[in-house]
Amino acid sequence: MRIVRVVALAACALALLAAAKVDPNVAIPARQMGMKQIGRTFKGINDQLHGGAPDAAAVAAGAHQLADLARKVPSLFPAGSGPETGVKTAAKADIWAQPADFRAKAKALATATAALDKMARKSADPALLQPFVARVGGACKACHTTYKVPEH
Amino acid sequence: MPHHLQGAGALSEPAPAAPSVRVWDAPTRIVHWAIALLIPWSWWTASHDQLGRHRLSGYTLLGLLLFRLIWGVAGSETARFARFVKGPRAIGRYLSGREPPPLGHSPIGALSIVAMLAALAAQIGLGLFAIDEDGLEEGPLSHFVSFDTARLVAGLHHKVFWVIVALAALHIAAILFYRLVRGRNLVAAMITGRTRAAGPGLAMAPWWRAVVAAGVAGAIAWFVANGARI
Repeated sequence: MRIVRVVALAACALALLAAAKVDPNVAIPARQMGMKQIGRTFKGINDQLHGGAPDAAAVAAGAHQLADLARKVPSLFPAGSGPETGVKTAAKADIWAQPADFRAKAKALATATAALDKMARKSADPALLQPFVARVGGACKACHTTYKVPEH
Repeated sequence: MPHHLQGAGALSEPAPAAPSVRVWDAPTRIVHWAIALLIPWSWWTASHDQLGRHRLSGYTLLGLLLFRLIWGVAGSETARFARFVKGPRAIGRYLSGREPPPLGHSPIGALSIVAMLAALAAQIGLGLFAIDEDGLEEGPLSHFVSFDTARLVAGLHHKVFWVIVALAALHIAAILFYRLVRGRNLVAAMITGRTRAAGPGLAMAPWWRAVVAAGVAGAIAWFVANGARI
């Protein structure tokens, strides 16, 4: 019995330590950087596709990077990095109040970017990739509409 | 020399018996009312997530603005910047009532016109380079700038809108002032193109010049709307 108590105590201590580790002054800028990086990468792909003669290697590399970034989105939202911290953030408290829905929306982005990544390895034809790109943008928007404070 | 309203100081009103003369040509009036309609339309479409229509409205406004700038050097007398944009001394003389108001824009009204055209030019220019946070909607020239710049530009695009709102409010307030205090109906003149004034008529540009100006403005707007890729 004693061992159970020790383990439980240790687990509690670890959980507390983990929670204490989230510094909103670090986590929030890190999230903003991560989101901006997604935006930059996505724009890079779009600029290629809108230009008429896309560079297939650049499109494929961008799509691969985008899929990597998208998978990390849930990790950008640790508990304790919401508006309750008082640090300026556009992330709504609902993210942590409805974790299942938030995770589903993040998963939709990961799926959409993975599909784009897969297709971009085969072709850089703008007409072919357009629906995949639109699905990615739609996934961004679906989550932002629900969980992000509008800028204006 | 500008043509004067009959026997007028700035504080007196034109005699009702003065003959009707042409003051605004058709292109100037069409451009004016099209801009007046498209600014609220642009705002409405942007607020209702109709960015396709918003962009189309912006491209149309770009064409109208370019036309107005060309018309400002090649159009009819009252449309020309060189004729109605005046320095501080002329503005002072007009405000003190020592000088009769010219037919067309007054020296103080000219400031308002220049400010409104400049704000509109800034707003259209910003919109061309803007991008939304989802990378779904973007101006046709956003491919020339980075994501971070395009986002910064999008923020400014939202701010300049309120500058336009303020200038439009001032414009409407001035029109009401002339209507209620000076007894002059500027709206009717901008619809019919005519006002009551003495003196010889104004020089009106031939219609073919408007066609050429519209062709040039339209071609530039089309090129920009399609990404200005050579």
